[in-house]
Amino acid sequence: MAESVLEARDIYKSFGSNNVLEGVSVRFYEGRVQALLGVNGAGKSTLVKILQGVYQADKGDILLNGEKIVYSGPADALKRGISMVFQELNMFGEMSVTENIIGSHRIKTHGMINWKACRQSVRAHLDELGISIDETVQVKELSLADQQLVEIARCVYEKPKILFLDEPSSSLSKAEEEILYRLIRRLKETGICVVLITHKMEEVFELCDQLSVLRDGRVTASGDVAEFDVDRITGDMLGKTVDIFKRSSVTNGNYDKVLMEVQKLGIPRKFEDISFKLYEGEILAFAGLVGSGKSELARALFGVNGVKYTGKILVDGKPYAPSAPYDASAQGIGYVPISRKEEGIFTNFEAKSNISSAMLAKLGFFIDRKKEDDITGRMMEEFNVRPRNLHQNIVNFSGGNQQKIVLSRWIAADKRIVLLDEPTRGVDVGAKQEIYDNLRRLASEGIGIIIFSSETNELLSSSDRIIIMREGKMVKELVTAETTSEEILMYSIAGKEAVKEV
Amino acid sequence: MKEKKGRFQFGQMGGLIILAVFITAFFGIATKGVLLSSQNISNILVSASLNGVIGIGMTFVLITGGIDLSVTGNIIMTSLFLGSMMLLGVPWFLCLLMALVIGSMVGLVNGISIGRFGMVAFVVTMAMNNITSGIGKLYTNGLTQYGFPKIHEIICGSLFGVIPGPVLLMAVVAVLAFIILKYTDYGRQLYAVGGNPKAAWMSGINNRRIIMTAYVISGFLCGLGAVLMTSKLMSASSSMVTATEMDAIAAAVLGGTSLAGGVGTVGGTIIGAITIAMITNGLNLMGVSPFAQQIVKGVIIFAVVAIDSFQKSRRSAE
Repeated sequence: MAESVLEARDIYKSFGSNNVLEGVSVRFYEGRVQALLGVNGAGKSTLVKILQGVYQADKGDILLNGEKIVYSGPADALKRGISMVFQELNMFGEMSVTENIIGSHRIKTHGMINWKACRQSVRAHLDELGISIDETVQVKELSLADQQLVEIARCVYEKPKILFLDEPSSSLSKAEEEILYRLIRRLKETGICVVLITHKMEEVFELCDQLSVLRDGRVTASGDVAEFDVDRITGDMLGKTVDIFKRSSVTNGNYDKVLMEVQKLGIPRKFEDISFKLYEGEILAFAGLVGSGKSELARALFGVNGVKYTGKILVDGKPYAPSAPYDASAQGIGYVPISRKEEGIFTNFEAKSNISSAMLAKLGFFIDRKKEDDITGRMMEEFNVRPRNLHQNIVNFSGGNQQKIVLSRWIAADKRIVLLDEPTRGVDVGAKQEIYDNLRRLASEGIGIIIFSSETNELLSSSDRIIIMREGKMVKELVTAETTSEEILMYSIAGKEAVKEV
Repeated sequence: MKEKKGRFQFGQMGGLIILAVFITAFFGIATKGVLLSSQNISNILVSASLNGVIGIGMTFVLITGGIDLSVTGNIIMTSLFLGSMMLLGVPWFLCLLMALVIGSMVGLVNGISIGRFGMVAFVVTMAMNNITSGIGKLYTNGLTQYGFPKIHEIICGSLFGVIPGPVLLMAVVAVLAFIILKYTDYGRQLYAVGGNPKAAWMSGINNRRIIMTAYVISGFLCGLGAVLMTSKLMSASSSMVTATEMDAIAAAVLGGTSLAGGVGTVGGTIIGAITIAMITNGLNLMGVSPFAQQIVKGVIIFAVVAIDSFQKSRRSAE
């Protein structure tokens, strides 16, 4: 077998009494696309951070081109050609694509920056990667998908030997994914080792040559992708073979009682002519790719931008026009935002205060601490947050557990209607099922739930009814029990049903 | 995991506690015990009281991620109005009430500009500092007003002949502020808004109202500070206080309050204010020149913040 470009050999790492990695060995090869799989908390991020020089391993070696190395820090790792694109992008929005990509490699003539030469260099670089983005625009003007491509281009500009991509397609639409995949294949041809940290099985089978599965700090499987199938991978990830997603079948919807009625809602250039009814105890889903307008719809229903829409919303038959989120909240509506880090968590708070932040009105001016402890403790039980420690700071929880905490915040607040935008983004398979089970239980208690999601598996396993949006319009309403993921995707992408073979 | 929490909290105020012990020991020895005589301790606490009161208001504002640079102007203007009213023969309790109202009104203007209209706190309060001190000077033509024995007697008397009035006032304010920050939903929302404004907004918290209230509290405490100073000095003038905002920020920061928002405690600020007063007092007792005192104060504040930030970077490196 070929020489590995980077190798982690028997790595151990623990935080306090928490053993995160226990003897992990992984090899990365030149010109390969390799997947790093594992549920949240399996140790993926820690391993990558050690390879990035962010953490030091307690025990074990890192070998670069067969030679043992010790990093002095993340910058050192970068200099040695180990690069990483994070899930949350890391760019200067006010600066141009050129300025972002060129970074510290500015081309100078007579001691002054020669911007023209810089632009040309960046243009050539982008062309080589097959990216057609204008190099002069400001990054903040670009779509999220384009920003992602620029970020990758920026890392590749440094000529890395190995590039880690953390869930690169999590916020991309199907069409955008294709562009990303094309880019990854091109990178592979240039001899870079691309490591995908992902939850998407399609991605693994479409792109990757090799995979490694982590579970509880150990490598449970690794080898050529060809040797694996979905069942085997999920089995290795979860430790037991399980039916991944229970198909949604029973509905708790009380179709005599309308909770929320939306009539001809529209915001210019975002979405238009949206009309639907949400019934008591029902889980309604809005499907659609990124850019279909479903996120904007969710935000409008929560009053995030005030009353800047046309059309009407009724809650319990009474007009509802939320001027701001606190107004919506006071009227019994909750909302779980799409971006956990930016709009979800309070990093200065422990888990308890993170859960109770939306229910303070219920606890009184002098916070009823006993009630707060009871409710937040119960939430941690119900959502199976691990570790079950109310007093641990939120940043010390894994991403999936943070998401559960943010979700439970609105459940604790006891709202009548809860809106969830991509509720399981970046959450592992096991935790997803727990979240769906919880939503179903809440629906059975009469709460109306609206999920906004672009994952078809999620739509199928969590909802009663699916409304598909495309380019700001509603294109189709489907009953979950009678549809398939192909049908959902077909409407999301093409807006119409596939021509069935006769 | 429980231990981790304890260590973290110690870390926040650790630098200050070590410093306070060290300073007490140093000046205690250097002044041959005079520093720790009961009369001198009382002096230290009285001179810390204004900074303590203003520092608590500043702590509220800093927790929101803002800053209040208008406190000096606010105190001067309020004191001059207070003095004028006293001289006009307005009943003393009405004068005191008016002082609190005037101080709060300045805070309200700050709060509306920053909370409601999203103006930058640094600039708004700096401008307000100029406006208020200017109004005060214009109104009194820059003259000093003096002779208010009545309020001096009331505010600066002492309880049971032991606890001086200003210290009692600071203690009452501190206890109330502590309760508000720790046990009320307002306090929790204040930390939430400062910790992550977007997440607070998305949790259904009315950021505008929370921020506005913080500035009103700071303004109210400036009114109280004006009462304190006017009665202590038995006079009001346009130069009665200088750079109070800097002392208040120093006290808060020494006490572990973060200028980035979301972090800060009343206890820390009070200890910070007392530490600063102790340094000044100790240096005075040693006969150090006021110019050298400034350097010493600056170095100490720098050192505490540096220690704190080294601790933080070591923690995050773990």
